[in-house]
Amino acid sequence: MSDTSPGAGWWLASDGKWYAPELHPDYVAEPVASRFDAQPHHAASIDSPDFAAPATLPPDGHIVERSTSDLASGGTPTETSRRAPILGVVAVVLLVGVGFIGWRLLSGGSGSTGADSPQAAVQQLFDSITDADPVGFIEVVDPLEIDTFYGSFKPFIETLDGIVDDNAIESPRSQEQVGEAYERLFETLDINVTGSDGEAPTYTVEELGDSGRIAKVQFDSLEVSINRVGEPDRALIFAGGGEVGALDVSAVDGAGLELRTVNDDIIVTAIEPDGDETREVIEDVPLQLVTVERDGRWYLSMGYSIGDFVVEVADPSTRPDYGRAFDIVASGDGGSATAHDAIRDLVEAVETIDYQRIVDMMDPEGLPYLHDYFPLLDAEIPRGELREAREELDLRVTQLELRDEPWNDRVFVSIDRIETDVAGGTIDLNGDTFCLRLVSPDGDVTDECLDQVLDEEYGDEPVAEGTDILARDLVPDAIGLVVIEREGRFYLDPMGTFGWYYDVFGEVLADVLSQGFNEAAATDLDTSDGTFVVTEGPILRSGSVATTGIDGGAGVAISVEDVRLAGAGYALVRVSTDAEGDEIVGFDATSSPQWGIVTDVDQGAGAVLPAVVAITESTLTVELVDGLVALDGVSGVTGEFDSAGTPVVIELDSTRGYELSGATWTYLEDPNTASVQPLIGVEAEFGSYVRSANQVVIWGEPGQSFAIEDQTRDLVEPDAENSAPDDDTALVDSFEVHMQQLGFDYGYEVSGGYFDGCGPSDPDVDTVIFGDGPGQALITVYPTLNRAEQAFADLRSVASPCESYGGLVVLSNDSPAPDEILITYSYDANDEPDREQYFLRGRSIVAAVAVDPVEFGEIADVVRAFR
Amino acid sequence: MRVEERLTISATAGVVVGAVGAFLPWARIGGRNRSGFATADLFVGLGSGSLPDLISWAGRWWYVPAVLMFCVWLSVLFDGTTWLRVVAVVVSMLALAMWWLFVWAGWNWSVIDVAWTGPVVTTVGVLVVAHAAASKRNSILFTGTGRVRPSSLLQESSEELI
Repeated sequence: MSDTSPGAGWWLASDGKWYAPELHPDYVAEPVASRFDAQPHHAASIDSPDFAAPATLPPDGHIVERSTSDLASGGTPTETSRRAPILGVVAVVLLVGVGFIGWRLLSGGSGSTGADSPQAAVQQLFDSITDADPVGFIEVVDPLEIDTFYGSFKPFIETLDGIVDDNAIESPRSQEQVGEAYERLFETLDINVTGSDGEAPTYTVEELGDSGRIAKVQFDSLEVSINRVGEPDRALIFAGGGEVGALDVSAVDGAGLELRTVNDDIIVTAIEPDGDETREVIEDVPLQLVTVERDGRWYLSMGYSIGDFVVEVADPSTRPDYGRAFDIVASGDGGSATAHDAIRDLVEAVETIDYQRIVDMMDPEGLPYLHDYFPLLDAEIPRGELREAREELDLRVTQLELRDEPWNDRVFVSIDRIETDVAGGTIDLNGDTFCLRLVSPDGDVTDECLDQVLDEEYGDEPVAEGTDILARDLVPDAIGLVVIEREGRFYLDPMGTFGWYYDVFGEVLADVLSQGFNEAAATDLDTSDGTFVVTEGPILRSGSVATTGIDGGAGVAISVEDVRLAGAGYALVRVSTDAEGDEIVGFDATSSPQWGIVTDVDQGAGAVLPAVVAITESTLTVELVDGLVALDGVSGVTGEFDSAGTPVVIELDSTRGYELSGATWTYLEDPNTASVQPLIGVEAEFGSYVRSANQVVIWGEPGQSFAIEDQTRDLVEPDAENSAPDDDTALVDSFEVHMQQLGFDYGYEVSGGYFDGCGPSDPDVDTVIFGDGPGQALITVYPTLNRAEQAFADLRSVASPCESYGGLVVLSNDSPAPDEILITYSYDANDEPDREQYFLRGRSIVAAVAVDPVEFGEIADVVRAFR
Repeated sequence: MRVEERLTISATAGVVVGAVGAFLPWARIGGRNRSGFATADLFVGLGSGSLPDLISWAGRWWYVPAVLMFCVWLSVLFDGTTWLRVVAVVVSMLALAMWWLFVWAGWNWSVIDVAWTGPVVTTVGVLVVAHAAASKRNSILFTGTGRVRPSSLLQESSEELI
């Protein structure tokens, strides 16, 4: 017995004393000791003085407390007594833990998105933009809007993904690169959205309607600032569609936008990186966003926000019936009992032009704005005209056969047959065969089937080269509408209907690609024009730089700001890659290293920079040559290329003609674009004759001599009666050079003069057309001066009707000058008349062609200057 | 204290630490810190709509290690046979790998702004549970059903008598 606990196994009795273990009423002879019999050393230890201490039981023998170490004493009786609480703890932990996890897992998602309040939703939106947080952004967007505007097209998007996966369009430089580019863009830019002076915006929340589920959140100011972070001198580089360029995000460093509400107006201040500010005022519009409540959580509604903005701008005095859509769902007043009924009810509403019923049939959850803004529409419709329209329409659907199938969590109701009496006649459409029977009020019957019409129009011509898919195969299997269920009622789903037809289109597209068209697509992708690369790379300012290909694409952006230039914005680069077979986008694949002329009139000051992109897993090296030699060649010049074969710029007089020997040449393209123009010699086929250019760049073998001679005197009007085919080509070339100043390239050729068959007619000539846009320039070179003059004279007689051009109506045929003819005409009742102005130039007729008067004037001025 | 009891307490403490970690921030989304549960639920919620199912599965993915952790903890209550201990350690590592893959994916692809407190604390909890599960012991629930391990008794008795 002891006043204090002597050790393990001792117990506290009701008299406040501690007693030895063996004195406990439950004590049983120690089995452990027997186990230790074979181990004398430990058995001896158990015989310690503590355990052998004499003791007496308390008078009442009542146990108050056991030593805590008793639990660890290991005796069988205590094990039995401990098992229950341990099992209890296990059960509790199991129940609480696994139960909690199970409950969270099963209920996960419900109520886990959105924000606690309208202002919290708006604040989260701004925070998400600031944090470049796509998940936070999506979380506060109305999920039903996402379902309507994204979910409706999900099958189509999945089909497209399948096409990419199944066909050769699995370019290694596609989706992943876009994703990486997105990441890098936001890693490089720090975008901040705050209230005034960097503080959180101050919000005012106003409930819209009395449903308690729509609220607009107004804020007095909003500041957006963009700052560059991360590595300097890096750019996003892209190549696609034959274009190559780079975005220097540092160029937007310091840009910003401020929106402030002042006297019910929004003052918009745009801050440029250099600190310049421009201001605009949007009058009588509050700075606000609209939120909706779904299952107790608040979300941003893009539709309501846009709708309310439009209402505020158009007529703030009109008030939509906010919450009408939610009431329709709750009351079950809208929609129909079944999917088929939804279509039948729609048909009935159309018969009577019951537009309110039509609106009430629309999905109130996905497109609630249609319902809430309906009163605004209703107020605009003149009742009298509506009555007249109903009477005039006289429409009655006499037969309607429907079929339905599930589609994308919705129901697609196909119209197998619809027969309609309208205006005394009958229209009978078979939605299965796409055959139409029209019975006129006089009893005349016309039968048409869509596949027959398409066969007649397109025959056996496949819709895409390399496939056997015909136009008739593009006809969908059914025609119908998509219906969606909301709270037991069925509503029409306009976006879903669009989505269904997109889905059908996607499947046709997949068919087209699976039938061999993929080979053509793959071939295209192997060309520069088909290449798609998005990557990140350094900005080269001088000297040379190498970058390693990442995921198949490597790029270098180029700033010519710091290099000596020959003319505004020109510099010279030499590019090469390490591995054989690498492709430098736009460059000739056969030689390395290669030369390119950098044109960037902004000289690196803009956000878009010229760039070089290579398809390589190794290294792309770009060298910016300090100094591009420019020679004055106006009166002719001779020289030789250096040991590296460095290209040379030659300054010329565009009114003169030159002959070049010993080199290949090309024009310097439009310097207003930021690009690298590879010197691949495509212009060499036009020979060495140079005319109407201010600058050309020439290149050749290292050490080779070159010469440019002024040939102007020889090029004065050729002998009209003794012209040679070479002279014809020279004239066309000369015209092409002349039209380069408008960026017009060779387009195509047609036999005869441009208006032959409608006045003039000369089968021995060809017309060459330049420019592939709405405006064109053309030249027709005649064998003799006389024949050119004859053709020009015949142009004055062009009039309609014209046998060669049915549907052409000549509106005017004038002669603004002795050697000019201006013809305007309309073709197939086009709204805008076509304009063609012809000029007689020696034995050539040149012309400007355009619809737009301004564009036409510009082209005509340039063509007129051709001599 | 007997080994199995000490290990049970240790494993339970590990579960508690892991649970606390699960409630600590795992990500900062929409300007707010989110616990592991909230982060997972958010993904499950986003994916339950029309967004790609992959998003939803990412959320469910997070829950799997939580369940695995409980399985490992349960194993501590049983006889520590070699195979059970090996399985427990493997499952613990699998759970950790799954959680950290979740974290890595979110961080690597800039999907979420990862908060490290939750993952680190949870990892500590898992390691504690794993350590307990890896240690040799008798079953604490079914005494007598397992083989007697004199050496363990020897050890505990020695501890008591020192």
